[in-house]
Amino acid sequence: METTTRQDPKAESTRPDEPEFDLYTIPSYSSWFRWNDIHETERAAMREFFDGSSVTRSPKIYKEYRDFMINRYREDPSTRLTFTEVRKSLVGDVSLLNKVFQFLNQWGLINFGADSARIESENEYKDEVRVEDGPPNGIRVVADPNSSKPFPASHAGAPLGADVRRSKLSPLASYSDVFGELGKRKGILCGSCGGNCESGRYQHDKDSYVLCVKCFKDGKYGNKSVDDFKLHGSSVSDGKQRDAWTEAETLLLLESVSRHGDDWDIVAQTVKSKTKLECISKLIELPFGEFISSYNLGKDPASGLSGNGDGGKDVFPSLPEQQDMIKSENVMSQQANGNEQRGDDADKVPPLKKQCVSYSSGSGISIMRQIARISSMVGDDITATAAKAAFAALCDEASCPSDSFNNEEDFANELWPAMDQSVSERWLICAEYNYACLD
Amino acid sequence: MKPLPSTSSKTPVKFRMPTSENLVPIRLDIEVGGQRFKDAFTWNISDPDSEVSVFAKRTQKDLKLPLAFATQIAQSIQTQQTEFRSYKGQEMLTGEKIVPIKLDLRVNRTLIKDQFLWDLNNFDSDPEEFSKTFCNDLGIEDPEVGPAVAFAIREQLYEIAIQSVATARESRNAKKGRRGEYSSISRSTGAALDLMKLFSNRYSGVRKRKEWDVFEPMVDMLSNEEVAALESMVERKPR
Repeated sequence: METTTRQDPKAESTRPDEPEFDLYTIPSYSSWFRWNDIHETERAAMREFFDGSSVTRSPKIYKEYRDFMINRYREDPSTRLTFTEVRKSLVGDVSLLNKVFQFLNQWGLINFGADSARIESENEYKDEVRVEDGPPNGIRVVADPNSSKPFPASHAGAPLGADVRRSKLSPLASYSDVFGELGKRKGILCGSCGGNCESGRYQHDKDSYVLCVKCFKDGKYGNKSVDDFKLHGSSVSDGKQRDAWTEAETLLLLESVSRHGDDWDIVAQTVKSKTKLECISKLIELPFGEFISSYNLGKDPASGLSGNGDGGKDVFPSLPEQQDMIKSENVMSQQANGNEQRGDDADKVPPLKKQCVSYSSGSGISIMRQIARISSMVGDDITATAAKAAFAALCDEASCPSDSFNNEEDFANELWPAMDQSVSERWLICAEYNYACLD
Repeated sequence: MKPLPSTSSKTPVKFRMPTSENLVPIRLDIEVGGQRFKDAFTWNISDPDSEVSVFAKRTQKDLKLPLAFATQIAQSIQTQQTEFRSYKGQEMLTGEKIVPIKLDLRVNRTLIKDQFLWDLNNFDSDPEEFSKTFCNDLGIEDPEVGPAVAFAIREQLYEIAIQSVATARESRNAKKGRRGEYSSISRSTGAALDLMKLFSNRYSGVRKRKEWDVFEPMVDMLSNEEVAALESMVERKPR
């Protein structure tokens, strides 16, 4: 905040023999202030003094209040002037006096240089209000209400009640908080080609620069000397490689969960390369993982599961449609154009995805309605943030120019011309979900 | 923001609390079987959700009072509410009305004495905000002081509002030609200060210095013994 120093003309006029002036600081946005005048800003903010509605409120009286308060403050500029201190010396309605006081306070004409002890105490009070997200401690979140067995937790192995992933986010969780860990599991990346170094890497002695085996062999040392690199054998066993989820596996998982819900035997069979346990833990880790399974419990009574019923349904709309959007999203990101979702893309996707597309086309819920439902689950700011994050991630992932996504409104409007801004933002949250699956 | 009524004519206004929120001060002083319960709070009379009986039951439970208190509390609140509502629709005199409000109360260990002016015409006034500033500026830590101060202000405003209804009625009767009421009209401005006298200091907004003490708040903290002494004194006084 800029400040201007103003000479106090009163000091000048009452002490003409003194060569020095008192300097008081007020913010630059208050430079309109004049001792011998009342500015438009003041007139507008405190009309009661200027509309002639009462003999107790006149411009003269306003000026007296104002000048008294400012002078009183300037007697000791380092101390915060309180309203209670001045109101005893001024005649008039205390609410009105407080209005003048607050006006001067906000414009920095008083208390501008004073200690902010009071502000801190007010902030302290605000900090005491803690927003807690997720289920409270001591409550277990169980996928199937009938089974008393809680989900096994994430790799951390903490009890589920305390570690439902989503609940641990602070109110100011950033994109990297949410998605950072998904990225981390990619493992160590080569500094040259950006690929995975799981089969062995060359570590620079002095800094954290890492080269994968291939780049090392190709001689891509960057500007470092070849002698500085030491080979680290692949510390990852085959087991670890098995643990990483590829994009195809993730999509398979989602598809089978949506079809078979809680039946992990079938799910694990579908996702051939992962065990039952791995499937379950992967699902929880996905941002909407729990919702998918709990939703499907309600959706498919035929599979013999009694579900959360309404609760599940409200929470998450039809997954297959979701996947449909996801897959077409995928394709679009690769192609960086805005085709119609279903028709065109179905031709271009590989067989796996095409299969999913046709599966979902039987479902009757429109995408628009789903979007609306999703967006009603989360707040607008979350939606917007997630959308932005998703786009950034998509652009990075698919290495496509972000230009095509930058004009988000147009991009969405191409698909749904009638859609307004808020709905297109909601569509973008699906993009976020899509990214979560691409791991 | 509500436009302020013109004060050139004493235009009557429908009865209401002259504050931005229409909160009614409720005072409870109930004695049942040797146990005495005193309390004071504000009630939002236009809130359809606030149920007196629920409140009374909850209070009795929370404070572990005998069951009889619940009905008495509810009764007392309802009586006061009815009284407030009886003024509704009646007119009260407005006109320039800057009244002195005096604070003289003890809350737990804090003793407060204060005096200031309040504009009855200012329907945007907020006793709660005043009281919050009051406690902040004076560094009062006891959280019960704020509401007590706000309550005290409201109570006085309520009294004055009721009075102004009465005087409005009188002046209406007087206009109808009843001669004997003139004296009461002059009395009607008794609560409000003479505006000329208000700005006694050369018609200035700044008060005479010697009067600053009168209008300065005094806050004292009592020791536990003093509090006990005061409370026993109140108890012994016959009601």
